Amino acid sequence: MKKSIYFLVFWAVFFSGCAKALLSDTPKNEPEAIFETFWQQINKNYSGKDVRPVNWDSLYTLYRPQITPQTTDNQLITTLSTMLSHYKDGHLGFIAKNQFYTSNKRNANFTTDYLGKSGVEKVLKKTLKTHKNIFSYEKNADNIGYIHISTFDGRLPQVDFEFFNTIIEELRQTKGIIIDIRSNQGGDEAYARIVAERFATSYAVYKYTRTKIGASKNDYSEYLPSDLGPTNNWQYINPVVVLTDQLVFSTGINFLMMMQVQRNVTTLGTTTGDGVNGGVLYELPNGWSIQMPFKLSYLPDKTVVEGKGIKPKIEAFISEEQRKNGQDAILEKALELLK
Amino acid sequence: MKKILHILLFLSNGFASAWCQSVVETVPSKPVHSLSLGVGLSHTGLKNETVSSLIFSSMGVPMHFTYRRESAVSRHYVQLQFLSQTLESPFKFMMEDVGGHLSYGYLRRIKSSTKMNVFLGGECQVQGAGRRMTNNVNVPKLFTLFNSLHLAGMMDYSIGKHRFEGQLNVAFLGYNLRAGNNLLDAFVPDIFDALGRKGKFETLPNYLNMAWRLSYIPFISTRHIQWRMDYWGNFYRLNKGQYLGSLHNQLTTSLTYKF
Repeated sequence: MKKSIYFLVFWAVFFSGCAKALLSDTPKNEPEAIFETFWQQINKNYSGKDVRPVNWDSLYTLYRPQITPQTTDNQLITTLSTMLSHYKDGHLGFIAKNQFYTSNKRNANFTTDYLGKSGVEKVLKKTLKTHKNIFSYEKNADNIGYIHISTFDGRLPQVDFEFFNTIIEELRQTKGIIIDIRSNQGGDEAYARIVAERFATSYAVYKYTRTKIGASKNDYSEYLPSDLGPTNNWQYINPVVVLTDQLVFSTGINFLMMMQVQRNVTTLGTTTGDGVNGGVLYELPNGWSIQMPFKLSYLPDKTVVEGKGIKPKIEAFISEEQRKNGQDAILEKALELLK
Repeated sequence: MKKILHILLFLSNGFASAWCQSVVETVPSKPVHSLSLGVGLSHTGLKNETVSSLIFSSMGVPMHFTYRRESAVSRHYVQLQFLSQTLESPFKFMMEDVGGHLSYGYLRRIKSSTKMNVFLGGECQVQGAGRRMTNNVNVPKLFTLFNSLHLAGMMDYSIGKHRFEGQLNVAFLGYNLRAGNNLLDAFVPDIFDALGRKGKFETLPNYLNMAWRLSYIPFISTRHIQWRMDYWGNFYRLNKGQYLGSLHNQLTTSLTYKF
């Protein structure tokens, strides 16, 4: 009997040791193999590659000869980082030695049109109330409400975003509301919905999403609609102006998509950032990882948003001089629209 | 779809039984039914190029519930296996893995001697897994669902009153669902609808799915209760799109009620 049991244990241990031999070749932990894996994964899985004007093949030809078995970690990081920088996508990057190397240093290249709480208070002539550095809000003397939403950060508790219901109750009797999402770089789409649902009077598709399911440019799943409908007892149906700028990114853009399909909403400002879908990590042979988006988002008319951003209905800018004087010309324009 | 699967299963089993009946004389005997509940230890190695170039592995505690009907000339079984574990890559990428198999098999005896019987037949199997990358950005989710038809061969061998069994199954057709080259996303509730429709019929060499089993069934002089020990292995791989491969080995011990 003992022999029989040993026999079965032997086979279990023996076959468990065969995983490396049976499962497909694992690339070596060497600079050339890491580079190859890195390039191939972006080539196969990164959705932005299909809509952004970058020739990934030619980047391979350019950078591959720079990698040899003697390439150091730091040299490899520099090369990979330089390659990715061509895409200028804030969701694309890689993690090496506990540091994230993004494809796009957005904060360095872009300037927000949001001039801070003081800039807003100057225009509204009111001191703003705040809630946990997420919402700043008040109504002005003309009974126009203003709410700035700084983030939809998924690490924050949901209850902080549910506070929006209290704010909207407070501003219920206003004749219009300005929702300011300038400089909002996103977070959790579920939090964006909590806010947007208070403005939805009926169910409407606000975007379509397709998932990359193959290496070729056309290998995508079907268009998946995302819709939004009313929640709570009442909806805000008076005119709403949503303010945008080029720092609006990720879930910030999703929020804008939710809002701009509502009948009473106008969008105002500058074109948003161009990345909607967050990425996931792919593990390289040395433990570094690539973060890359694998989806594309589309407006209800099926215009792709990734790589382009969303242009507001009414474009408005802040000139250099206005910026120096702390004059929020975009907010002023919004107030004019709601008067 | 179901109809096609039923037809194929019927054909695979029907072919085996027709062939067996031409070889073996039917021996009338009273069939023995049994229910087994087993638990054990397992080791899984998994490579999913959707998320990593490296092999994830883990030890786990598998469980199974099996019904068997054994007669002198045939074997039926329905088995449900379940395993929940956390797989880990060499650089600590974590993957929660919950999966299971539901299989039905039917085999007919094609050869027998005083100590040994050889059986041939088919197995129909549904094998599913849901996986979650817990320390990855946005906690991506993956799933696989394989619906496979297998050819199955089995041999039992008696030493004194003790019995050994060995079985090998190889899938010849699968209708497989997986999240394409990529991942599920928790924020889109109806993604299963869209990606679910992308199920594909696959067969060798792109889709290989095989299982093997060695069992030891000692003689115990009780009428209804018995125990058995099984070593069970399963290897599958999908070469198309991003490579997905798994090697799973487990040792289980089971308490069996015979009636």
